[in-house]
Amino acid sequence: MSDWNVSEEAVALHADSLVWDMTFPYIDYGNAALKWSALERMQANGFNMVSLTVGGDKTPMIEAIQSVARERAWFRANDDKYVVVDSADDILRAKRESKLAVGFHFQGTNPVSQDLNMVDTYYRLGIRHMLMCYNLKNAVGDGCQEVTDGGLSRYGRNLIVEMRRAGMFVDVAHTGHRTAMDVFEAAEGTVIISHANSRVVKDHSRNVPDEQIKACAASGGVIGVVGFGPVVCDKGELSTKALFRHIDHMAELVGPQHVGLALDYVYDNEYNNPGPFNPEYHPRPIEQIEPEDLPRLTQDMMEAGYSETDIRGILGENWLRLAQQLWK
Amino acid sequence: MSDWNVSEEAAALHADALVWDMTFPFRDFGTVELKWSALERMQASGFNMVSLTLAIDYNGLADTIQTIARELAWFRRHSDKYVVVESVDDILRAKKAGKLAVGFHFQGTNPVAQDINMVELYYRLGIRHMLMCYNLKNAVGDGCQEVTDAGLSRYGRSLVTEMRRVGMFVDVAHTGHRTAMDVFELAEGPVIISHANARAVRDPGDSRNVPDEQIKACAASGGVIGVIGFGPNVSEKGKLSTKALLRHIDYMAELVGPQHVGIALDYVYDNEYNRPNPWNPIYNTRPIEQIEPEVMPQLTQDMMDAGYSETDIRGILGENWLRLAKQLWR
Repeated sequence: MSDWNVSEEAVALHADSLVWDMTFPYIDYGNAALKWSALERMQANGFNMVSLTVGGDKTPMIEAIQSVARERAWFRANDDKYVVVDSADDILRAKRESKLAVGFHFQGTNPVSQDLNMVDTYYRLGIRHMLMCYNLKNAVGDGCQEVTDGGLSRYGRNLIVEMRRAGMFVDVAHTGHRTAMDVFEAAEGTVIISHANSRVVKDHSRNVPDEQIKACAASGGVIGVVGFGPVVCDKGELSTKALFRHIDHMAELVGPQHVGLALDYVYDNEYNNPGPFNPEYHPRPIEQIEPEDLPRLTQDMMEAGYSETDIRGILGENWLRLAQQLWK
Repeated sequence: MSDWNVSEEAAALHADALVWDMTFPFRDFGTVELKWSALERMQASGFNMVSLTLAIDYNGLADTIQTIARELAWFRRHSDKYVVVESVDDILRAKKAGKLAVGFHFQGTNPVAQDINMVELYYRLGIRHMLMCYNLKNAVGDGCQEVTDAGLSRYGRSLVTEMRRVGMFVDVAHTGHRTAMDVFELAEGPVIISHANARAVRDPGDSRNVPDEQIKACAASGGVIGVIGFGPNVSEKGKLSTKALLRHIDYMAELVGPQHVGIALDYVYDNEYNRPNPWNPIYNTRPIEQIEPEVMPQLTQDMMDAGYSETDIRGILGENWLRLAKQLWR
């Protein structure tokens, strides 16, 4: 911890806090061997819980199931270091035992295959949130980079009822604006934006307008700020202070109890996946907040006068509160 | 319970005992509506736990997962009457609460799709045993109605190891003789024969009922054999009764001890359902002659009349399966 290069007080608070990352893309891309070392880097930099993407809108049901099976087997084979969580208690226990807690999510809802019974089955297998849509259109609604924005479908309305029943977070990151707003209205309860920044601070199709931030907070939800350079700030200006501006804007707008972390860390930053919908989206190497920068963010929040309670909330306890409330 | 039509003592023992059926084919066939009423009939006749077949060797991974999802959803909607069990405690709790406990199994291993990681996932979704093969050949070995009988495959050996690791019963019902014997030898722990009768008592002209060698090997492994009520496997046509079924229990208890015998009626909820068995036409007579759930209390009476001790009767009715679950489930 001494190599964290921040004040003693910041080190102490960062190490003692429950630090939770709500989005780590864990599918195989680029140099997939880096994904395991990236998890170790997360843990070395204070993270206690990481939510892993194990499927998305491009993943058919059968592949999603086998992906979960494969990852569960890997974490079981490495259970001296990792715990796949079922409950909030598992997370607290993992921290006490100095293990990294991991949860699973899907970036999209296509793995459900329009079979609502699959929601509870996925929950049993560890899936704790699903994005309604991932950039493009699916049976639920439109993604945030779609040319249309028609709102939440009939199927989507049934899906969120079932997700809420099962205890799974309803998540509108990457989702089109009108679809997301429909979800906030229809959900009759907490909706999260697992990973997105503020569009007021940095204008980008992936970032969310104040209207969504307010609706998310009003639902009792939490928004996770993202460390992916292009959605944080202009090229060449990335720093934890730049990321902090998103936190600060959201905390100012709706209160720090509705802000969390979700670095969306791309473990191979040379990996080339040109986004056809926004060519400026993926310059290589990716400029992004590295796990090693995280203690600095804690120091930044302390220097900005954030209370210890607020800092602990943003680092992880806000996500924990939701898990304690909603997971079954 | 008064309509059980047995002595007061038998009714009392049957009601108090934990009664466990290790094989109930819960797939959709014939008049599907009957499958749910059949479960109610099971419960009314004293059963407390029923292991349901959710898939067989004809099913792939994707349809199997969706079947599990569908049945989990159905039982959740009827949680006033049913409990899907994860542990032995769930079974005991269900009996106390007057609910029927249900568990799941596969008749075959093809739903694993040769992805060993799926075993733990299936266990997590409630699958508590899998037959190595179902009548025919698969990637694990040969079924009991196959023309070849070559033994357990390389993949099958890995599968047995993984099933044991996660706590799933390794089950050789419907499996070819040599494949089954290989499993007994390699498993290094209890192997069950979830549902089969003694071939020495009734030989239906194929390998579905098991020879003494398998009964002994199963018992030696610490396993349990469940006797079935499907007529052609119990006795000659027209001679089916609980007493005929008792002869299988009696034979196995004599051979290896009553602690290795259990119940698995294999009850076909629509006994007019017609799916011809091309390998042995003896199974094709309709309506199916079989032990109905309602005659179960009579079996308890028969065991009492035959001088079985209360401990042995409780064991055979369900506590033998319970003992294995306590030992192996995680």
